[in-house]
Amino acid sequence: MAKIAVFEKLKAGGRLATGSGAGTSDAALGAPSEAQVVQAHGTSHFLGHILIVKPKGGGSSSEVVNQGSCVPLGGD
Amino acid sequence: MSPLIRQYKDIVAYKLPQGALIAFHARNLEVAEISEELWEAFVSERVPVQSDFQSLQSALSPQSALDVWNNVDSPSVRDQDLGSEVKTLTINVTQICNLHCHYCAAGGDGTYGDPIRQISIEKTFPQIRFFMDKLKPGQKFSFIFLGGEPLLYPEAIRGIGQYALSLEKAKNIQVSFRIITNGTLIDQRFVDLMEGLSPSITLSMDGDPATNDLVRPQKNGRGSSEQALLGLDVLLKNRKSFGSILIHSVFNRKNLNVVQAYRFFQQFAVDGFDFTFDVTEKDEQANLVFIEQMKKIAQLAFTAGGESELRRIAFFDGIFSTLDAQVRKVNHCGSGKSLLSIDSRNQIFSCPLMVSHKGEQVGTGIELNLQKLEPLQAPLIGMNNCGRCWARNLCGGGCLYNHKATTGDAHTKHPTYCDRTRSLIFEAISYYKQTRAEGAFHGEDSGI
Ligand code: SF4
Ligand code: SF4
Repeated sequence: MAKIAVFEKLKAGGRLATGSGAGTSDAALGAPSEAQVVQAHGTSHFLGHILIVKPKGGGSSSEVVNQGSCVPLGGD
Repeated sequence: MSPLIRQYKDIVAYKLPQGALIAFHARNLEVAEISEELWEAFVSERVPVQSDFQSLQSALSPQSALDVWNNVDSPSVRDQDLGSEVKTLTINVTQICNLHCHYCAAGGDGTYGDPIRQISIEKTFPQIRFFMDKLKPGQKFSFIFLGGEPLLYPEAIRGIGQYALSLEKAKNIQVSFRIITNGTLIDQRFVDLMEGLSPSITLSMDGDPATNDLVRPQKNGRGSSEQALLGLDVLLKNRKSFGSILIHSVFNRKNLNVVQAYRFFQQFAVDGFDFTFDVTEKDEQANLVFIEQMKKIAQLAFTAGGESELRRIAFFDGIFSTLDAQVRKVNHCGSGKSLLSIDSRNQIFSCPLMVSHKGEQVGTGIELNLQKLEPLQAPLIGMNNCGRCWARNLCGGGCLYNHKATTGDAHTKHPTYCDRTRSLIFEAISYYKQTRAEGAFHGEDSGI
């Protein structure tokens, strides 16, 4: 049981936190798309099994464009 | 002790030595912690379910949960888009070098088998205009100056840089510069020449002076460390004149002491470190040692300064950036797509290390051989047959030059490459999990 409690707590801070059963709000998700709803529902059913951590966001895709292993081609 | 690994379709999970269970969804770029029950579901029998809402309702068992998670697509992730223009040019301003590094990928002596003292700046201008003309206002364009040792001809860097800046103003394109140098020729004259360009610098040095002198000697056989460190000192004293300053070290069976190098470089106020494995090295034992050493420096960095210190190491920064951006990296690099390389004869290649390979030439001057470039336009993870590899969207199919040098074919991976890549990506993911779940993790329970 203790382990599941940890998951509930994690879930509250996780990207896919949802209202059903976890005691958290959907507000952070904004207006959810259909896919998000499916995912959020999926997560509520996953309770006790999967916690997806929240990416910080804001990373720019250009940073991952030219990165190579020859010379440091990215990172600027 | 290495972690236990289990994979189910697009989901890979691993058990860290301390018992934590971390999972990664390869398609969705999702990092998760999973329960013991779900971990067991990776190896238990299952009845497959669909990802419709009905089955979600019944997805209460760990087996079903795993299936549903695998089937659902994350709405926030997208494929990397390199666009249809070249946005990075590497330019060999010279093809001679004052050092004789043992592993030199530029033909063993910085010449690529074709020693040329100085590029023609006049012939380079039209090439720059040709590529920059294709960009829309607001786009970015970056130049990477290479050699040989590019500081043997810093006037070319200045000339080309100033020309690019004049186009930048006219076309509203953001231009940036990086110079890859051995550091031995950095002096006040160089600093003055770079005025207005604010180039970023990557200084190549492979460890403490004793180690570096062995692998990166001068032409006369003497070590190069003293000069390189003097150069670094000049750079750091003129910090405002430069963009980011990185130290780049290459490791192979002759030099595997990444930890020692990392500890030595700690004393310098640089922005980061790029520690890479020699692109031609395929020794299994050396590969394993390198992986372990990289894990150790990750731990040292993370213990000393958390995420920001860890991300001073380029590899880890790259994985964190990709996970945060939620962009599937379907190309390891922009080779032949968004990146082209100009040699000192103004010939064009798809990658800086392919410069000596006649068959790989894709143009001259402002003439591009589109037939040669066409096959390079597909995503590398497909071209390199990465299939269901769980790391594909973080690795991007790997370095074509590395594959060619180790297997003879640019699209065939050597097992050491994939082992190394996956091991280090695992490591990065576990730190990502720790930092992004901060405060909620550490296994505390509420006593229920
Ligand atoms: S193929 Fe390899 S060597 Fe060439 S640009 Fe890409 S990462 Fe660099
Ligand atoms: S190169 Fe290897 S590790 Fe990288 S995506 Fe392909 S199979 Fe995976």
